[in-house]
Amino acid sequence: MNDRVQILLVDDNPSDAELTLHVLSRHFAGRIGGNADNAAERIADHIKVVHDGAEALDFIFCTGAYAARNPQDLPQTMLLDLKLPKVDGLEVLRRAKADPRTRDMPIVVFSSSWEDSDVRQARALGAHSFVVKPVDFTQFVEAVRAALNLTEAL
Amino acid sequence: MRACATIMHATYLAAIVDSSDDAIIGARPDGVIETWNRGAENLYGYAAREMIGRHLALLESPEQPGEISRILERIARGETIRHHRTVRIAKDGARVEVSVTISPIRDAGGSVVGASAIARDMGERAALENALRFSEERYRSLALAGAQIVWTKNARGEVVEDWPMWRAFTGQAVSETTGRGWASAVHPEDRERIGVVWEAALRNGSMYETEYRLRRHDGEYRHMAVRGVPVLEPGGRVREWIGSCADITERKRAEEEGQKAQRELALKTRFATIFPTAAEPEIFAAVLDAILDHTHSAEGVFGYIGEDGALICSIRTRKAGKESGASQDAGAACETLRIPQSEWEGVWGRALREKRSLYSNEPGASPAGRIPVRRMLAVPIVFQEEPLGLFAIANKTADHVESDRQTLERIARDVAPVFKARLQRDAQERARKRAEEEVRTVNAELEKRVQERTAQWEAANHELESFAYSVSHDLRAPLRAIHGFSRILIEECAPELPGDAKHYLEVIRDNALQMGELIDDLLTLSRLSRQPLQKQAIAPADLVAQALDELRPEMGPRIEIAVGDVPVCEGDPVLLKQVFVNLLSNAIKYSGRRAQARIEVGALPRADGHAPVYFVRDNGVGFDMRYVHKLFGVFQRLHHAVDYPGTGVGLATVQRIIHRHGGRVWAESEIDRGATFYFTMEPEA
Repeated sequence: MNDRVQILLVDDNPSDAELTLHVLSRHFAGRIGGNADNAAERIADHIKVVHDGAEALDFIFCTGAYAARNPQDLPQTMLLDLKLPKVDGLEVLRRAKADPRTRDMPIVVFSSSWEDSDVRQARALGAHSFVVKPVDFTQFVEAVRAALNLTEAL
Repeated sequence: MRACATIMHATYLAAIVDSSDDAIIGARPDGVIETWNRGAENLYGYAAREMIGRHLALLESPEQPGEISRILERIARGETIRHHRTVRIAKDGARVEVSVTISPIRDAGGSVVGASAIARDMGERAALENALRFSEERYRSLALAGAQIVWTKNARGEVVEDWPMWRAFTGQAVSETTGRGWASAVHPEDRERIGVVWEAALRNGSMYETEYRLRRHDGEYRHMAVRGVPVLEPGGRVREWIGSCADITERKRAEEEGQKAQRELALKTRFATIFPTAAEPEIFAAVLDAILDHTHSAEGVFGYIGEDGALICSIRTRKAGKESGASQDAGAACETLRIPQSEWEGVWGRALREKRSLYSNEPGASPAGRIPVRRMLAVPIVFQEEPLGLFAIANKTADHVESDRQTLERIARDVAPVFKARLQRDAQERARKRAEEEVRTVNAELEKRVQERTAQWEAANHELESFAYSVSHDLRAPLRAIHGFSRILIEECAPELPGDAKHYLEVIRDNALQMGELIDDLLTLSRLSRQPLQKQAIAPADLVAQALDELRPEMGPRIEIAVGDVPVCEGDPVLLKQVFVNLLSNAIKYSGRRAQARIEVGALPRADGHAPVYFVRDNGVGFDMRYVHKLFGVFQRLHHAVDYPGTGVGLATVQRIIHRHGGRVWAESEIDRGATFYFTMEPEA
């Protein structure tokens, strides 16, 4: 692991974001080393959380509040919730996939249901994989792990 | 006295015989000549003294030997031979063509005592004279036969002779015909005209030819064809005029009838073309022009009786005497009028009401009082007792008479079938258009309503979709937090938690999970309402098998499942499987506590023409029929969740699916005696 942002998490729901961070810290804990208690703090160095689609776009394209960011520092993966304020997840996905700078960044799409028409569209737009966020947190943890394992395998 | 008279008579006869141009010869029965008049001397060249005592055979031609003795034999038998054309030989040997009439002469006792022969020269010498004589005879015969009147006038054109035939025809007295009196029998309107013609003929000595009406003795004027020719003297001067008058009234009438029939035929032919082809506004003008042309009238009305019983008609006016193509009086002359029955009046109104043709030469008015008219003749067009319409004409120059009425009536009668056909076609066309219009209106209305409903439905659906989307995202998110953080607490903080706390956390977590299930079931139910049906032929037995496979984990060991005969049906296989899953799941759940659970799937014996009725039966705890109406309601549960967990959405889902197929679902049960759920997959008859 280096110091640059490895994962961009786009989720407007703070609870979901926190739970996701929790899962990710557990996931990375084994590799980063150290104990699990302060894993979350250390993880924060590697995971950037943004709360809407506009901010997500600013981050990856180094515009707006992130204009000073080095465009070369692309996150390895974006975890993208579809239901977002300002610019929705599908639009973020579309713009990321349309731009040569970001086209190759794997994007894992979060959705509440497999049945959403959004999921079909996201697949068509080139989403890398999907995580359905069920009520059962256990299942969620497994799903996020599976998705990340997939992206790392790239 | 008597002897004296006889002598006088004999002398008179002798004078006639002597002065006659004809040869008159008397002979004995044996042919010896006894008398020979001057005519005979002139004809044959022999003097009387030369021939008396000689035999008639002296005159015989060698071309016909024995002819005279044969004639004498016939005379001896009492026969008379008239106008016998033959040839005789004159004294100078010339052939003389003669016409001979030979009669027997009888004594007081009737015995033939002699023969008289009258011979006329038929040769060229006498031809002219004879021709004249024959002609006179011919004219006389003609006049006697009554075919013609023969008249004569002198060279100055004056009547100097008696005109017996003329008098017989006209009933005039002799005194009335002489001079120029005869002309008083000629129709006064014709006198001046024929006077001019006659004067011209008289002046030029040319043929006089004319026609006039001559008053017959009974007062009736007859059409006469009159001809006259000058008789010329050898020098070329007019000696006299001879002429004839022939009654051509019948011929003229026949000719007129013929012309009338032809004109009528032409008119009918015109109508036969107009009626089937002319469009509605033009048909009025076309028919009226034809009628006005035919009747020489200034005003015409033509119309038909519309579907509401009113007369739809048009009035045409044109200047008298103008034929087809005459300038139409400007403006309203051919607009269409609609005249309800209550306003049918005058001659035309009566004609329509009484279905018979009528005329009046009195003043009146055209329909709607448009035009003051005189001499209106109105003829209804009637087809099989049904009045179809009307022709009427008015303002003719002369009064209408019976024959005018008959003519128009005849035309109306002949035109009626074509007219009827046209009206029928128009009515059908109108009916068809109305029907089409209605269909169009209804369709448009339906289309509009469908669009409105579709829009409403789409709006509702859209709303529902957004709602479902919100539910799935927003209701689940907090549950995920509740469940997630409870789990983190349970897993990661367990050593620090008091004993009860872990249990409470587990209750929180289970409730969150249950609420998640509720949300999922509701979403399924909502999706079922919106998703289009994918209907196809399905075998329910296969779906039952799939459902049982899915439910295998829920089944206890003591469960017996019997699948009977389930007929095929039409439906959405995914949805129908869901029906079986839900019903079987319920059956498994509610019979789970039986020592021997038994579940049966089948169909009722099928009545003819009825949709199959499927059922799922269990021997479980059943339910109280008093609450059966709540059975299929959302979140309605008839059992305590502690005993039989569930969301209360399963049967509502079943009902939604069955209803979407047009079928029906119902249940029967008794507490502790099991329950049976029935359903059909299509609307019942």
